[in-house]
Order: sequence, then structure tokens, then C-alpha cells
Amino acid sequence: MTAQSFRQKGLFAILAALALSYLYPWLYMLARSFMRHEPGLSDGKGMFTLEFYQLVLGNAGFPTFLFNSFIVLTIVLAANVVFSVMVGYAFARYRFPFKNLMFWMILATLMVPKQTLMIPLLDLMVRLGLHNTLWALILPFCVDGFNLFLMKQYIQGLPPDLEDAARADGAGEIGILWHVIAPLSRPAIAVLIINTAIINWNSFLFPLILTDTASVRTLPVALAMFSQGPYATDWGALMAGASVSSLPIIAIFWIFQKEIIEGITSGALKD
Amino acid sequence: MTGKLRKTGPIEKSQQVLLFLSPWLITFAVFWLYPLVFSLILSFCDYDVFHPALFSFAGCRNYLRLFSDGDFLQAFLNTLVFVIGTTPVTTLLGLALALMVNNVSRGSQVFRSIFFLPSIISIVVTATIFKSMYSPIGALNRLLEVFGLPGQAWLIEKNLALPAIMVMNIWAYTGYYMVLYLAALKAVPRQLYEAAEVDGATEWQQFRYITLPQIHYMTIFILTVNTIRSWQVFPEVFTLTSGGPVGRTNTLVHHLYETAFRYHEMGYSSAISYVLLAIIMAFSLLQMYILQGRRRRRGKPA
Repeated sequence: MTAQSFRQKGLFAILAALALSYLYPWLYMLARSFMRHEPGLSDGKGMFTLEFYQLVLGNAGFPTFLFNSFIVLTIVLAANVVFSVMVGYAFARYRFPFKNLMFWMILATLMVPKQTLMIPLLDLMVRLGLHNTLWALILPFCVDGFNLFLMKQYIQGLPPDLEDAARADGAGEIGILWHVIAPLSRPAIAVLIINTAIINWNSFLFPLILTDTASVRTLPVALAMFSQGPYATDWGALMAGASVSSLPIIAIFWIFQKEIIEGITSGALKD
Repeated sequence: MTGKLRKTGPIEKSQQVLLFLSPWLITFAVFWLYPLVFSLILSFCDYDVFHPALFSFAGCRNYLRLFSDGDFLQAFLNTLVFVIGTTPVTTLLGLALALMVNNVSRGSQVFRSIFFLPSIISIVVTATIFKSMYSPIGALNRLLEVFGLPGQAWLIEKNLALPAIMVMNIWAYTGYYMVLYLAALKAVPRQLYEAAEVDGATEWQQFRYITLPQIHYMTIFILTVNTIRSWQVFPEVFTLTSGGPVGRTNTLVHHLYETAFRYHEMGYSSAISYVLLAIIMAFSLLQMYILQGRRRRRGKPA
């Protein structure tokens, strides 16, 4: 018994030490973003200041980037939910020509790295006149192969009785989709939203190549540019930028951590 | 494919099906199939998106150039070092963290969340923080100073820059694999351990002969997705070093980005993107092959 509790204490100590090394960068970010340093002075000592947040939230334009990220995410999420339920339902419940081939095509889209599609997509957006607009960051990401797969598998597992009953009551297919399938699919939709939100919010490569000007930049790209611009070694400013970019997400994570972790795991356990 | 397919019902409503499928059919054609084919064509051409008039056929020149392009070969090797240096570490550390978090009696949830947090935050944020900690007057050198060790120019020193990025990457992604392993560990039937204890198996034997085989397929899944992700390493390089010093941290995707957007050689960069595609496809197919094998074996009657 004492050996057991000794072991527990050791385990706890190791985990606590590791947890400290995981918390340290966040604390460092916060501390540094509130401190002004005299040039030449070491990193440790400084005076409390809000100037870096004033810079980041003012001239550096982070509210715009936050807004852009939010708009893109909202539309992409809404589109993914609606379209994935539609397409997933078709694959789960209907018979149609080339169904197997189409399903394999969905899986194929998951295997191709997005970098291979990058230049033609840019080319397409330039030709459509959508380059350097938020639409370029939205349209290609409204349907995602993984989400289709997820919804198809989930809807397939639902008992068809309710649909049959609704059909017997004279409901149309769209009505069934909206009033029967969508409510029943809520757990899968939650997983879809969590996964899509994390990927889309952190998306970097496409927003980087599809936009040129600050007014249409999303947060990750804006922060990367900020860290290479005139503030490249102004650590206080950079840390204020990093904390403005991450604190909302950390707060959301802390509130929904159980759901988020479950969503991520069941998303990965797709096989 | 276990669900029941409707034998009766609205099969003939082909317009309905077409309507339901249309979002996918359109995005698949416009944003996937067309770019994929166009990219392949471009890889045999000279092209720049912003000067489309200067379009010419290049034959196999772009692909042949790969073998003589020192920057590409260096980027390929750097990426290989990155993959070999990070993938086993994040996987093993993820397993170790999962085992510890699973067994600790107090604070398990809090530990899990702390380790997991970096993997849902943009890697650019993480890179920005580490850029500051790695700076000559940053936190890391101050820590070394406490122990009386000399500070380093972590991101500027030729032999330190890539390892510094790798360490950051390990910090950022281990928690994600820990969470996946935790789910796999929770799914191992408790009776197996109880039976083993009755038989007097040691803890190591239980781990070796029960836990490891039971989570074997999660390990395969993690190894492949982890490897695929690592081959595509880019935002952290872009933020921390832009490929420097002297190309020591240049990676495949960063090189791809530079050829396309700094040198405007988009035909050549398309050829590089097809090399990346070949690598990623190989790992995806390997994973599918192994996991399909599992399904076949599962399907057999015992």
C-alpha cells in the first residue's frame, strides 16, 4: 500500500514537472506581452505596460484579422454541416450509378497533399477575380472528404424506421433530411464542427498564397507576417500578437475541453 | 458499409440524388480534380500564374532538374531528418504521457488538457513564442545561464536551427498523439488485466503482452498520420527561419513555396509538389493496406 502511494507520488511529480514545461511558454507569452524592456537590459526585468496590446489591437490591425478568420470559419462551418449531411445521406441511403467509384474518389481526395493543388487553385482564383478576397479562402473548403465520410458512416448506422414513418406521413426527401436525419445526426455534426473549426482556424498555407494584402488576412498568416515585419525582434509586440491570437481559443478549449477531446478522438478513430 | 441499403423507396428520384450530391460533385470537379490534373500538366511546363502569357512546354526538364538542384536535395534531406527525428519521438512520448496520465490518481484530466492544448493552437502562435524563447537574449539562454552554461544563437547556428525547430514541433504535437493513445488504452478490456494478474504477470509483462498488442492498430494509425504530417512541415519554418541559415532548415514544402512565390517558377514547383504527392500517397496506401488487413482478419469466423 505504501509502495503504491509512493509510486503515485513519483508519477504525479514527473507529470507535474512536464506540465510546468508545457505551461511555461504560455506564461512566458503573457508575461512578456505586458512588460517593457530597456534596450540592453536582460530579458527578465521590465516594467508593466499595455503599449503592446495597444499596438496589436490598434495600428497592427489584429481586430481585422480576427474578424476575417471568424467570417471565413463561420461560412465554412455552416457549408460543411449542410453539405455533409446532404451528401452523407445520399451515400448512406440511396442507390445510384457509380456510387462505389464516387466513394473511392472521396477517399482519394484525403490522400492527396493540398500543396499539389495549390498553384492551380491560385490560378483559378486569379482568373475568377477572387484572388485576394475572403471568397478564395471559403469556396474551396465548403465540402471536405473527411466530413462526408464521417456523416455517411454515421447516417448509415441510424435505424431507417423514423424516415419510413415520416415518408408514410407524406414528408418529402428534403423534409426528412431536415427534420429527421439532421437532428438524429447531432453527435456526428458536433465532431464535424470541432474538427473543421480547428483545421480551418489554424489553416496557413492557402490563406498565405491566396491573399496579398493585410485587409483580407486571417490570424495565422497575419501573425507570421507580423513576426517578419518591422516588429521581427520586438518580443513584447510579438507576444501580444501571439496572445491575442491564442487566448480566445485557449478560453474556448478550457470550457469545452471534454467535447473537443472526444471530438478529436472519434474523428481519428474513423477506420 | 455495414448499414442496410434501401431496397425499396425513392431510388428512382434521380433528380433528388443529383441535388444531394451536387455540392460534392461541383467542389470535387472544380477544386480537386481540375487542380490535380492541371498541376500535373504544369509540372511539364514553364508557367507563372501572374504572367500567364509566358506559358511554354518544358518536357521532362522540371523533373530532371530535381536531381541536379542542390537546394531541392538539401530540402529533401532536411525533411527526411525532420521526419526521422520527430515522428518516433512524438509517437513514443505520446504513448508514455498517455500511460502516465492514465495511471495517475490525481489531476489526470488537468494534465491531459495541459499537454493537449498546444496541438489545437495555431503552430504559428507556438513558433512565435519559441522564436522569442530561442532568441539570444531569450528564456532558453537565461535558463542555461542559471546552470552556468553558454548561451547559443539557436536559430542562427547552422547545426542547431533544424533541431531547435524539431524540439518545438515535438512540444507542440505530442499531446495530440497522447489523446489518441488515451482513447485506445480506455478501449482495452479490463478483464485481460484481471486475468493476467491472477496468472501472476508482472506489470511489464502486462504492458508487453496485453497493452501493446491491443493498441497496435492505433500505433500504426498514429505513425502514418504523424509521418504524413511531418513531411508537410512548413508554417514553423516560414515563421522561425525562412529556411535559413544557408538552407539548413529548408524543407520540401518551404522549397516548393519559395520556387513558386519567390522565383515564380510554378512549373518546377508543380513537379516538386508531385514528388511530395508520391511520398504521401505511399504512406497513405501503406496505412490502408495494413488496416484493411485488420478488417479481413476481423471478418473471419473465429
